[in-house]
Amino acid sequence: MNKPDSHEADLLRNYIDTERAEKAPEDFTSRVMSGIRLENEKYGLKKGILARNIVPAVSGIVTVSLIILASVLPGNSGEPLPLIRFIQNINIQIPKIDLDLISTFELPEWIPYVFIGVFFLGLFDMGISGLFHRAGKQ
Amino acid sequence: MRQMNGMDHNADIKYIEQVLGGRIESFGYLVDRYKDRTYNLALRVCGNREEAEEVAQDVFMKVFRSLKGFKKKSSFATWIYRIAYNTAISYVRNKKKSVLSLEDFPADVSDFGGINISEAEAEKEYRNALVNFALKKINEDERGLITLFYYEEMNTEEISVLTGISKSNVKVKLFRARQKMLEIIKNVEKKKFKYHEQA
Repeated sequence: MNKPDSHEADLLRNYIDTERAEKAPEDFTSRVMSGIRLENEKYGLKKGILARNIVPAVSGIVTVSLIILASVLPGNSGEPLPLIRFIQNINIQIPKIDLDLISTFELPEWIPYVFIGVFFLGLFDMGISGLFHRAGKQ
Repeated sequence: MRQMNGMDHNADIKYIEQVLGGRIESFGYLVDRYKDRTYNLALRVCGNREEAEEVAQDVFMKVFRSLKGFKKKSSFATWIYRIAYNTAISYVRNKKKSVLSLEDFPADVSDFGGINISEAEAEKEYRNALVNFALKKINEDERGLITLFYYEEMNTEEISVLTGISKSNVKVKLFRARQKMLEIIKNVEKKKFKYHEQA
């Protein structure tokens, strides 16, 4: 019956000019790439809040961890941990909070340095985040 | 199918990996490389430039979105043409098109008055117009198959892999499409003959 693989006696081939091909419009690639960039940004928005704000999230987690550590670690006086002291002072029968504990609460000496470090790390994070954001847009 | 060498394939894979690694600008290379053939395939199936451009752009967006799913061992060219073929066919199917009648083919299409071209070139232009007209008159599936077989120079086996239609069915469909087109061409030529007799 039909032999489409064979080019013999294929009358249609007499009409078809296989060399005739049109080129895509000149600005085709740039238009596609604009769409792709938009798509990429849109996809970025679909990501979770944590994924979109990974840099400030990490900074926040580090800061909170340091604050927790500061309240748990012992001070320089060699007394028991402030948290343990707090727990020891809780009267189970009648829960009582020792308000003096607040005034005697002592932070380790290195804490101010950590906060300064976190502050500068935060600035550094913001800087590289901006840099990556700009590079991603290009 | 037009041949592609291993170097081309390796280059494609290299750029695909770059895109997947976050360098989306590398996708431009793939667009540049496949835009003409994708556009031509869309043009033959859709029948007009505006729609072909829309379809071709849509093809590349789809390719970008599903690039992660591409198996690097297979041919990127075949993969992209499969997406292009399916996108073009779906586009035409979803768009309600008016059916052309023989009267829609301009009887004086062979009169290239004022255009400084040789008789042979004029004949070529006429034949091309004739084929384009016949292509528009057959359905989108047949149009796609004719394009892949004649213009993309694929054999029935390759077409079968690309379209998912069995090889024997491709042969039958191609045969019918070819017969239809030849019938349309014959009728238009009869009409043209009458027009020139009257003129």
